Amino acid sequence: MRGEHLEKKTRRRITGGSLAEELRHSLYLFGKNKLAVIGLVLLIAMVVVTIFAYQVAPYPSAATQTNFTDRLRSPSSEHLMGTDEAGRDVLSRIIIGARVSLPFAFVIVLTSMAFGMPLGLIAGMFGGKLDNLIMRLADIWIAIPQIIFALAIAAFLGPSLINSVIAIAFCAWPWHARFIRSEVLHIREETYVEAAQSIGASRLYVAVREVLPNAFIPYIVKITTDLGYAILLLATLGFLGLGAQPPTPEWGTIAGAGRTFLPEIWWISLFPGVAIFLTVLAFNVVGDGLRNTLGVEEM
Amino acid sequence: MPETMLELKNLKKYFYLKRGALRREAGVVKAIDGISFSVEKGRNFALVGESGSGKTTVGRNIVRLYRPTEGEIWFNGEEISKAKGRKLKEIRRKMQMVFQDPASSLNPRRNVRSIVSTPLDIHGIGTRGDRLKRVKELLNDVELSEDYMYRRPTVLSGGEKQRVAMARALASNPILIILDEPTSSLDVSVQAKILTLLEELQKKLDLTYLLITHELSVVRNFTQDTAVMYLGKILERSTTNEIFNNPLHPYTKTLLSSLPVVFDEELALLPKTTPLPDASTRQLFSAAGCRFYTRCPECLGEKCAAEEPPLTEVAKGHFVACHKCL
Amino acid sequence: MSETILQVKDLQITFQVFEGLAKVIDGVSFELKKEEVIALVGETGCGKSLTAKSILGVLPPEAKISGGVINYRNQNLLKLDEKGWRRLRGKEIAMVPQNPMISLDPLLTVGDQLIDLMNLQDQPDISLFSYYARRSEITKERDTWAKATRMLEDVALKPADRVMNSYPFQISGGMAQRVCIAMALSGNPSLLIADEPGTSLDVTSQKVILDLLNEKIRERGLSVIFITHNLGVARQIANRILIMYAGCIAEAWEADKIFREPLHPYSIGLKKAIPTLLLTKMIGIPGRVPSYIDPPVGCRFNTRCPYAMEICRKVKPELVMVGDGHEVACYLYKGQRG
Repeated sequence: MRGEHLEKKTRRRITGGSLAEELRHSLYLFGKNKLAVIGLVLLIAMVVVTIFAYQVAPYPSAATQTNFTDRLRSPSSEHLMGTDEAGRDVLSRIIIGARVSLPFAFVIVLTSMAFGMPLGLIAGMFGGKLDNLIMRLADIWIAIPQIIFALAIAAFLGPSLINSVIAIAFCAWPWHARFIRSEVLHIREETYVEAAQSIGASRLYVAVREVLPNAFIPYIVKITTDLGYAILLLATLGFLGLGAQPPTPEWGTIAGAGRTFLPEIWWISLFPGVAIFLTVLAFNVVGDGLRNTLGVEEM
Repeated sequence: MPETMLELKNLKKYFYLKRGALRREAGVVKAIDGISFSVEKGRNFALVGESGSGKTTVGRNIVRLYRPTEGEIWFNGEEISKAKGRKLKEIRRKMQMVFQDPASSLNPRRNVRSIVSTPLDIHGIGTRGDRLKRVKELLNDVELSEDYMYRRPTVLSGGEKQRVAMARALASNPILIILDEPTSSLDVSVQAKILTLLEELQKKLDLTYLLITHELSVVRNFTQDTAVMYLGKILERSTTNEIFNNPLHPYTKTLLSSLPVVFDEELALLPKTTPLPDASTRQLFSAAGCRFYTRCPECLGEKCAAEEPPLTEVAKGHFVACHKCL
Repeated sequence: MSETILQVKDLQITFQVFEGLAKVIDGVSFELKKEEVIALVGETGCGKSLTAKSILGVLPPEAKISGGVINYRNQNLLKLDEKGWRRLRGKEIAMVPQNPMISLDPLLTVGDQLIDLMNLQDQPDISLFSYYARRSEITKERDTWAKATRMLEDVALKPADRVMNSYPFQISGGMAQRVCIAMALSGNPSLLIADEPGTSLDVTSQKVILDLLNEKIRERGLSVIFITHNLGVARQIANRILIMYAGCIAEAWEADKIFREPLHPYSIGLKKAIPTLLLTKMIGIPGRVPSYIDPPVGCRFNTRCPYAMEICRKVKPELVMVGDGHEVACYLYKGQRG
């Protein structure tokens, strides 16, 4: 429409334009959101802790070695978060547990992406019957609440960490597919896609070189929040006994094992819960911050 | 000797509206309803019209972003309206389009080098080294320095973006370039530079332009032939000189008299007509009469409402679709 | 007739952006007399919209007025608080926005929007809650429906009832523009700011809108600041044209004279670039608009000016009178210091 250029006067960045410049600019915008920065710091701290878990944990052997003389001690200066029913230091278990929750949450999300993204891309680019087929399939999947679906699959496969990962990834692909498909449908209408088509681009070229790079930006935001949700689901299954099995120190599993001792012995279930809470919160605020940062760029 | 580069014969493009779960046809938008004109090599042709006239749709039909509903498109001696696959790809090398609004016609996630190289990549022209050289050549042609190669469109000005779009259009050595409102979003001083550049490129590379626009003052200075469109039909067609010096159709006269001119000398050149009410945005109609009937200040009444005037030659090379002008 | 209604003196506006502080408006001064129509003309980014917005007090949050004075009827607008602004906006100073389709609330009918506007205009301090609680009463008391309908008829929107009951997506761009004009005029302002009205419309619709505006301006004796990048439109509607470049006024004169004999090198460049029906050759202005973060020292046009001298690169020229109502900011003409 004529005159549109006059209002959407993108505050054109005067410097550079290379990837490095863009990243710096994004960091600057991100930094303006205090909550997001706190979340990011928290996440970075968690990653560091995960890598150096065995060095950071006060009782590195707590992952496996039991010590029944020290069982069920309340939080003290020796055991900041108390000990559990097998005498293991809860704090150490939580720190080592990060090595389970975080990496496996990534695995879950990556697996869902591996299935959901191509399907969404195909559905969006091809349209017609193929699109219909994929979307109706996705609809069926989504009709079942994710937690219950994951529970059922995990119960079917047998309780274990790997199986719970499979179960969650299996249920999550439609959300990715739908998201990518909706982005693709939107981006397909853009003039630069038309330009590529008028030059003679094949559908594959358009999908990979024009559409995908643009679809990825909002996708990154979704993935970030997905990571938080994956951790939550993993913990849920663990709590119910269908996920990681003791003695694996997965946060949900620890909390679940401590359930029988509530409410007098509260520290075994509470602290893993706090860990889950903080992690998911961190992912969510970082995702929010990213949304604002990248959203501004989209303008 | 005039050589016809592009010829449209009775081109039609209808968009069907489908409603309901069974996708039943609920109505039709006749975006283009029988357009015919020809573009001679070396003579720039302007397709003039306001929004809703269908001029943009014509452009998109020519580059086959849409498939025509009916009619023929002859390009360089071949009929291309039904071409597919490899044949279509070959044709596309020779015919390129520069889009309106350079901001959205350049992918914000790609840099200038990658954008300009797009036709080379798609048609597999040259090796990687060749393509880099060609991109540098093209940037030089559009008067952008090499520093621009790794920049993203978001940091370019409107004029620079349009130059990048042009460089991209020139990459595959086309013979016809369709310019869809190339300067509408640009400032006056930048517009002049872009138009000058287009003229130079035309001389240097032996190009022909089809200009699709609503800016009459640009048409006056840039083209040799003009056709005026309204609601999917051509109402008047002739050389640019004739259209401006001797406009016949009431719509053409209205367009010209609405031009906000800067210099008093120009005012004398404008025809005098009475102003019209706003155009309604309705394009779905079943009336069999003249398309301009609802707004025409010189309408003859019943005849114009009942019968659509055919495009007839009233003077040498000057075609009008109007009962009053016959 | 020659009473000054608005005075802008040495206005400075800065923006805080990623790369630093952008000094966008750098010393803009002009006067608007009663019943005069002036046009602020310039290319994208020259600051004309920003100047107008500062007169209404609706600058974006990153912008700050770092200097200068805006006097409306001897009242310094820059010292107004929100309450003071609310009494002024709509009743004394009104704006016709650029793109009518996005300036209207898509979720309310035209009638509802007009009625709310007119009701709230007389009671700027009422709380929204109490307003909505008593809305139908207030409307009946003040006979707002009839008044709103009359406003629409005044801008040649017939049948007014049908438009009152339509949603913005049901009316055309030209009709929406008229609605916005009706809204602007509903408070009986003395000063009207028109921000590129008609640019989003077709040329035939634009002409109709401009004719309508002209009629209303004359009818009501409005003083108008007209913002546009279209020199032809400025010529048709304004008494006086002010040409802006990079946040400064380069030249100002009567509309029918300025393009005949422009003095400022930028104005001369513009004149040469305009495509006309006279088949004059179009020549662009070399170079590009300077960055506001690091603007050129002295005259902001010095990077592109074919006549740039030593002093142009050192000290910014002032806008001085060089002949009957003709002002230029350029060292080529006498009246400048140094």
